[in-house]
Amino acid sequence: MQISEEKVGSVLVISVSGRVEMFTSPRLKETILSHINKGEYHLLFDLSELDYISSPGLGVLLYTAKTLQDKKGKMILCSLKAHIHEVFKICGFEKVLPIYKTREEALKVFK
Amino acid sequence: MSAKKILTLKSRFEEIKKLNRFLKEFFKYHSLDTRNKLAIQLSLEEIFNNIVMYGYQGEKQHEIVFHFENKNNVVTISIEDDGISFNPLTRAGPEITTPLQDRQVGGLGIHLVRSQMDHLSYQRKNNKNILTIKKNVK
Repeated sequence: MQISEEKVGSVLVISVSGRVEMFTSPRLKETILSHINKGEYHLLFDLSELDYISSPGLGVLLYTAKTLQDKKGKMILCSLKAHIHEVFKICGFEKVLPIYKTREEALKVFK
Repeated sequence: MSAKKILTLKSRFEEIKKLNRFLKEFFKYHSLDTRNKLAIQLSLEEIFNNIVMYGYQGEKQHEIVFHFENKNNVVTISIEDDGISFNPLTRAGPEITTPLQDRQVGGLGIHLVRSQMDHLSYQRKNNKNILTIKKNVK
């Protein structure tokens, strides 16, 4: 798993690539929480290079969404591969997390 | 690789790497597509982690045995362990339709298995859990 961050206006874009599972998800959670603790409440997750995610990783994203909701922040996902999107659908994430096809579309929502 | 294969793992999380290596070969040999590969890999990871975490609760020397078969475009995998009795078919699924504030962070693993496999069966026999999952890969 690789994580990279980029600030676009008021939005922190977090790109996660590779595999997010039991061994890698704690590092993802740690990274996200360090940003939230610094006051970053507008997070866009670019998942265009995410190949695999299992329940610990899904749990981190759900936890992040709940944390940001408590802080009146916003969290959006974008650019999911079809097989990853399917996993999110199965878990009912579409009902609670906005998912956009492209980064550009997603960034407009924050404006 | 022949149509039937057996993989034995110890009851410790690091063994998932052996499972992944095995699956890589299995998928290649049977030319499975991305969607089927992900469904099988994800299901097995969730099942394995559940057995290690809840079935053995830290005991690392037990064996978990996977039997693989691909016949008539149906991949059948049975998973045997002698951990605490656990029937994933009778476990209530997570709430996935409620608003965000009411969602529980855990409990998605078994739901992913049940949603992605075409058939699941469970039996408790000779003090072992035997879970069998099937995926139509045509």
